[in-house]
Amino acid sequence: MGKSSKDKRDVASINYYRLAKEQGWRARSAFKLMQLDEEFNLFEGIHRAVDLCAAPGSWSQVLSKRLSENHASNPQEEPPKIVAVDLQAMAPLPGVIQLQGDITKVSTAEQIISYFEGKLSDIVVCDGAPDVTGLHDMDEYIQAQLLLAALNITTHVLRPGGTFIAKIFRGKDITLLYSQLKVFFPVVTCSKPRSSRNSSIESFIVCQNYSPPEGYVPTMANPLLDFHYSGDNQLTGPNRTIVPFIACGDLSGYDSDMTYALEVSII
Amino acid sequence: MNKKQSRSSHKPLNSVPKISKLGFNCVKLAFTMKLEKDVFAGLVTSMAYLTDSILLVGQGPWLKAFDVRNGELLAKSLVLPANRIHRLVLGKNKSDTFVKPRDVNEEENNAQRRRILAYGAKTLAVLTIAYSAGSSSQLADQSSQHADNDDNQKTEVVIRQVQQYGPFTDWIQDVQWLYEDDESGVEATKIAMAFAHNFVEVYDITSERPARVFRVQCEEQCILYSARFFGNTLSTLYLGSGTVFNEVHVWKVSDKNEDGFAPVQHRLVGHDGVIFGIRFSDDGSLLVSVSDDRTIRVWGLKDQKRKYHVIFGHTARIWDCVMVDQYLVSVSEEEDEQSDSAMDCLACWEGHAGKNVWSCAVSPNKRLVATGGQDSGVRLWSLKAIQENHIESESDLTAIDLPELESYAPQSEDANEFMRNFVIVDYDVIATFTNQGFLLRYDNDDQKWTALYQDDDFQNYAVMEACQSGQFVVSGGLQGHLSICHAYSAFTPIKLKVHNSKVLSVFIFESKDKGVFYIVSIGMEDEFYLFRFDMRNIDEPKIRLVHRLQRSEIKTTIICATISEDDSLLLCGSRESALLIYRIPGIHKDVSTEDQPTLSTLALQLRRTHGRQAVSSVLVRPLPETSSHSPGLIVLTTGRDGCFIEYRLLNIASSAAEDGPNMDIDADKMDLVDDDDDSDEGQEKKAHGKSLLIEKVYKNRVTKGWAEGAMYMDGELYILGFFRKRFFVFNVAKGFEMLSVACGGAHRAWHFLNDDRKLAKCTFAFFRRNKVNTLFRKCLPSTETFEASVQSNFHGKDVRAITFLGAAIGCQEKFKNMPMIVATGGEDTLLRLSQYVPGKLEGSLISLRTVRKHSSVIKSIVYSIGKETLLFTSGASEELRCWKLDSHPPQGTSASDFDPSKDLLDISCLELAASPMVSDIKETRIMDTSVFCIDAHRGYHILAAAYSDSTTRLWLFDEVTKKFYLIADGVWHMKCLLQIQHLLVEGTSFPQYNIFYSVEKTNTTNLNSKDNAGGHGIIIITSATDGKLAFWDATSVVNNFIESYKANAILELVKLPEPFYSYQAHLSGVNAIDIKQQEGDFWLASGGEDNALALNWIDIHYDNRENVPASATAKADIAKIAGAHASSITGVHIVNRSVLTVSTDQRLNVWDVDTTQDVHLSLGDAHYIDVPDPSAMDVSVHKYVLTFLTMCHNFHSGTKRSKFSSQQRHYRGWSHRYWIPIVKI
Repeated sequence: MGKSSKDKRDVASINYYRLAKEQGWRARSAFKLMQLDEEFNLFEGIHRAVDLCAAPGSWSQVLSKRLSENHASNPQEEPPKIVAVDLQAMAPLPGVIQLQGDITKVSTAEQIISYFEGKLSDIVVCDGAPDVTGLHDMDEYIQAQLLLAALNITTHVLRPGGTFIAKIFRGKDITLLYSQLKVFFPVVTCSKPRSSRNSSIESFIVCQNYSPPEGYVPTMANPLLDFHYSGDNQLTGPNRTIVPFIACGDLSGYDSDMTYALEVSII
Repeated sequence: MNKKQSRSSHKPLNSVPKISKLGFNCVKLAFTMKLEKDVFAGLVTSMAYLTDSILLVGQGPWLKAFDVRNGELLAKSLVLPANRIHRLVLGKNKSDTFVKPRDVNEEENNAQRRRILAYGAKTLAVLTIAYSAGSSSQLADQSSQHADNDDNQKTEVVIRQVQQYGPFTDWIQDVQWLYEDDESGVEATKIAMAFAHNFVEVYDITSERPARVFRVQCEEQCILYSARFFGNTLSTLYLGSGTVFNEVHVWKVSDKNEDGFAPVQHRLVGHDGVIFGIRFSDDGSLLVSVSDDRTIRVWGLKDQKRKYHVIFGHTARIWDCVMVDQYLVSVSEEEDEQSDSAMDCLACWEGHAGKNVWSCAVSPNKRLVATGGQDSGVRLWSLKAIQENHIESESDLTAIDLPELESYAPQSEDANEFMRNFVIVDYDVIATFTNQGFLLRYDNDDQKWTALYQDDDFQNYAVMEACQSGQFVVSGGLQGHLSICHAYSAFTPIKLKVHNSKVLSVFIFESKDKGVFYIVSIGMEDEFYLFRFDMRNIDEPKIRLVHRLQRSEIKTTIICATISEDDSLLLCGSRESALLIYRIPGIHKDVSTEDQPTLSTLALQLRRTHGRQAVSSVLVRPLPETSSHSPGLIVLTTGRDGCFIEYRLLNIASSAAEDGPNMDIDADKMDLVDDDDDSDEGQEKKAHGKSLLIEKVYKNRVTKGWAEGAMYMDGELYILGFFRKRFFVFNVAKGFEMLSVACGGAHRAWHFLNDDRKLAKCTFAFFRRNKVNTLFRKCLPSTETFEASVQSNFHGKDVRAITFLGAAIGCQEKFKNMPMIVATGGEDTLLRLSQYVPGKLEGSLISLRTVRKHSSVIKSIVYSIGKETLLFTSGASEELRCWKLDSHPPQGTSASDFDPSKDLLDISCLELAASPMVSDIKETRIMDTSVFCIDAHRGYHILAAAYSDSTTRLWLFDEVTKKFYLIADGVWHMKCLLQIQHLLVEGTSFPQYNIFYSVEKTNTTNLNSKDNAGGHGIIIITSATDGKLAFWDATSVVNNFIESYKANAILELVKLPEPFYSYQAHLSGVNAIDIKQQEGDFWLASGGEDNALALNWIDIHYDNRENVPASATAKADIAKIAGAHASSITGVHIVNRSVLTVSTDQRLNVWDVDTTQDVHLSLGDAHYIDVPDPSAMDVSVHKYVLTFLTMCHNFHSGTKRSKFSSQQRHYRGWSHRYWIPIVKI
């Protein structure tokens, strides 16, 4: 056998994988959204949710579970509606409306709103990530573009005061992305669930209280609110847009970096 | 201007930080800590040839110009301060004379100027490069006389930045110069730019600010992974765009449909992954695309049926390709093996370490291909040499058949005549023994045969050997005869009966005395013979038996041998994998013939060296004498296990009488740890009797086939061998195959003759179908006048550990000027020892040793100085290895004369031991280690290791027994540990342990005086993913263990006492910690995944009672900067009263610490660094120069990857090399 550099990180996070399979989640990323919820209490009073880049659907599963719990405790309120959007088709999920479409198209936004009978969504989530090339700057750019595309469609479908959550790579130009998000959301927090590996570059951006600039008209045709380094967000030095960081998830839960003996069970 | 200012203008300390990359930002610290970037060893993202001899390389934000003929760096300029250069686009070649290149001092008339666009991300730079070409344009046709003239006409290059534009609104995917028309010589005033959202803009660049004159959006609005223009005027400009939806579109920039969008003309559908690269053929009729799906597709744009060729050559993702006439050169993530396709793969180049080649360029004369890798290396390959070096067909070989029998044996009538055996006598001459006992010479010049000798005793069987200088041939026959025939019949053939039955093998060695040779003849007897053959008097050659050599008692068949005349040693390798060493005293004495031959017995026998495979060749070189050992020999063997092994043979000056009687060693039994099959390195295997001492230094596998021979050419090691049906010559230092010949395999008789490092003149001959098939190669020396490795390589994958070896080097030799040595390790599993060498334009990291022993990632490298200097490396799979570092100045240089700016340290790394596996789970990783020497006199070292199963483990390493002993372990965090440090605190409460003060102070370095640990309190500090830091007192646990160990009792493993102090420093993982003593107290700085920097000012003390653990009190509230960086902090270092932090956001911040009132941190200095995703940092303060290193680390995004199962055929996991296949189209 040839020498392999494979770090056994993947094996280390097998506990979450196993747990996901036991609890019926389609992917272990379900825990990431649940841990974000523990910290930010994302789903209180929420009825309508949109899951962008949804496949394989674990976040839609979490949305479905939490929103139906909401409904069960308050049956007098309107029933939950979840729309899952992806370019690819995915296996059907109970309680989730699937929409196979491109998030850069206005028609997709219109379709989402039509499912909500003209109402806007309370929350938009996006766990999408592009094919990674290994060129850090390129990967970060493509991820940022994906996030901006998600933000764009979000401006069409999210109600003022709503929440937007997306995956980010905290790379060299992350402060530009923070500045962009701050145009639409007064409260922007970067958070890393404990189910996401310490060594992974991914983290999640939780944008709360959607407040578009006055007179802002959502549009797909002019997608880029392009930001550059300037006076209040400089390339280096003390004036940079850095949003607060919050770790989330129960400290007593599994650690995705740790090597566990197989019989150990914490949760 | 005062003196101070003029000095600063000479060395711009306050300019951009000077840093090096895939990890290395080397920073100079003056009194005010001004940082200056120096070396950057990181991926090479773009390349272009300025002329046939000047190669432009974009590496990070730097543009460099190299002379490909000698690899010299001609110019270097920072062109995109905070972005990588993704591509370089040259303007049309015009000899612009209207702008005088003022900066080129010499050869004004000869100076040329060229404009270049360099872009990266959203920025674009327009540059002018002025160069005096010298005689460079005729590179490949230069005669050697021309080359001499070059010294007078030195190539000069000056890079001048004309303008920097941007940031633009979108990511730039390609740029192009636009001319008014194709023909006129008017300079381009406009440029076209393609952006990632599939639109094109045209800018007029004659003004200060670029004025946009045109914009068009393609009707297909999606993100592009790649794009490439074709055409140089706006009306003929096309864009090929590679979309995120796996399609390639070609659209005409000047077309617009009724909606104002440019319609797609060609929609090329078929790829199964995103498109990474697009190239057009010169005439625009073909488009080649490379993709994530591991295929190259060649599309005919004129063909309406959209037929395309799919090339499956790669087993990994492909980044780029270039069309060169009928060839296609593609570069890829990696390649293990070729698969069949409609198009034949012509050649595979293998040259960069690690997984990626990112860029390639072809010289204007289409002779040289340059490639740039993830490993920071820049390599050159000769396209012409594809045919020269890759011998496929018989037409390239000369098939030599016997002439008609009657031409040399008119009387003979026997029709059963054929070649029995052959040798290469000279480059153009072979000799053969025929079945009927004729020795014939063949001259390729005139293709004539000459009969030299005939003897019936050599009928039906002959072993043959020719002396290196081609003067004579020695043959052995079936009846035990030897014959010595001069190749040109200068003396009468000599025949002598040596053996009773057939001669098995014959070897010839040349003596230092010209005209004197040694001949070794081996038959079936229990002894074999060494003759001295003297042909100084050509009319009367003399042969004399000098030594009778006793065979080994075990059955072993010698198949190769070499002689060290000065040391009177004969070294033989056997089919049964043994290395046999004989002393042959007095061989060079020219004694009279009356002397009786001496009987020599085996001095040393090392069995099973290459597993159980044959030792195919053995080679010796002198080993220079150093302070640590007497002169000796470097012995190199190759084996049919595909490996070569380097040994050191010491104590060779002693006499045979001192040798022990039983110098028979089984190589397997010398192994301290289990070796797996393919490589082990630096394993210190000492086999010694009373005198001769053999140490195994290095073993490496070069082929899956057989390694059959080795040679040193200008200090570079070449390995000859066979793999599958091919013969190859492999350059080990530079890692590429220099020659490859389809010959059917190694089972036939073959010979190879060469004596120049470029293999310009060589002869390779082998038997096939009773003919000698011969490659006579005589290249003009000019065809290869380029430096194969323009910029040397570094780690090919992410670096995880970096440590300066300052004190570890200084303790062995008293250097006046200390070399800066750095040890690095990472995902490629290699341990590299490199020396930083300052240079005129930039410093460089020169690799001194590369050690492959770890089977998975190396995460930590630490050193400790006891009796010897020890290096400990550790990482995944619970691997923890201890090495002995042995370093000294190169031969002929004393430590006081050593000049680290030009001399390279001679350093070796011998493996002493590996720790046992102790955790219950196989996947446990060692995340970090910390080590100190507790008793230098006895050679006891204490190593603290942080394991991913949350256990802190303490080891004792005993240098003498070379064993690890587990002292104690403890679990507290219940999370994966990330960092560990030790701290030695002077305490008054350990009189019982003060015995350790007997440590000889001289043995330890004053640079590391804290490591003289006797009588100190031992504190271990750990951090984990829970954001906490814990302080453990290990004093009594360690000392109890050592005391009983000295009394030969090994104590049972004990539990560490619970931490006596801990605090929550961060919200999530603590990635980096550093602790420094400051005026009796301690500063502990930590950096976390939560972007925060925390500094805790604490006092650690003991009270005077015995067995009471240490206690700690905070002197102030913890100082914390929550948003110290925009991303996770991965390196922290305290220097004087400052804290340096480095983060994934690619910034290096320097924080000033103020302790006048509580602890206060303020940002003092901040720099952008070129290393993406830095994962480790070390700082060395060295004569007021602070050098700081950060290392690249990769994206571990954990994201979904696209599926390639259909193409992913022979995927074999990561290989450590990559290949560049060339396909004929």
